[in-house]
Amino acid sequence: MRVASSGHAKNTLEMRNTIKVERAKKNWTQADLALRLGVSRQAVNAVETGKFIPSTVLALKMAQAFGTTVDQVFQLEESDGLVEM
Amino acid sequence: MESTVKKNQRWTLISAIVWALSYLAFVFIIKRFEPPMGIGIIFTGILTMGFAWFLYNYIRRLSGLDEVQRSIQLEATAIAFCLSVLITMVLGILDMVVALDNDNWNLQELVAFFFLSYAGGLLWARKKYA
Repeated sequence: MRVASSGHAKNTLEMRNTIKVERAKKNWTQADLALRLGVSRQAVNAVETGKFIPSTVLALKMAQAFGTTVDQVFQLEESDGLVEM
Repeated sequence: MESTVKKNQRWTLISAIVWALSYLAFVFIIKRFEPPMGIGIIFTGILTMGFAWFLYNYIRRLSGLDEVQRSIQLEATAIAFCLSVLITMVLGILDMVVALDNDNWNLQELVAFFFLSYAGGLLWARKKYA
C-alpha cells in the first residue's frame, strides 16, 4: 500500500479515501468504526487500505458515521476521470 | 449482528465436522465390512442429507457476512472450484495413460483434495484483504 503525504490512502483500485484521517478526527479505532457500521474490523481495514472498494451503501454509512459526505471520504484518482466522447 | 454471525459460523463448523466424521466412518465401514448394497445406499443417503445440512448452514452463514467477507468466500470458492476441476482432469487423464493405483487415487480420497483446495483459496483470499 502506498500512502500519500496528505494522509490519503492511495489504493490499487484507483480510488483513495480519507477514512484514516476521519477516524483520527473522531479518535476512533478501526474496531470502533466497524462496530458503528455493523461490519467486521477486517472490512474497515480492507476499505481503508484500498484493498476493497465498498458498496454504495457502505460508503454512505461511512460518510454518515463521520458526519460528512461520500465525496469527501472517497475520491477517484485524478487520472481516472470519465472517458471523453 | 456479531452474535448471529458467530452462531451461524458455529453451526457451519459443527455440521461440517459431523458430515466429515460420518463420511470417514461410512467409508471405513464399507471398506472394512463390505455391507450389503442396501446398507451402502442408506449410508449414501445419510451422507447426502448431512451435506445438505452443512450447505444450508454455510449459505446462512454467507448471508450474515459483510461485503468483504463475502468477497473472501467467493474468491476461496472460485479457487477451490478451479483447482478441483484441475485435479479431477489431471487424475482422469493420468488414469488413462498410467493406470493410477486405485487404493491411493480413488474418488473417496479425492474429496479431501477439494476441501484442501478451498482451505488454500481461503488462505489466499484472506491474505489479499488483510
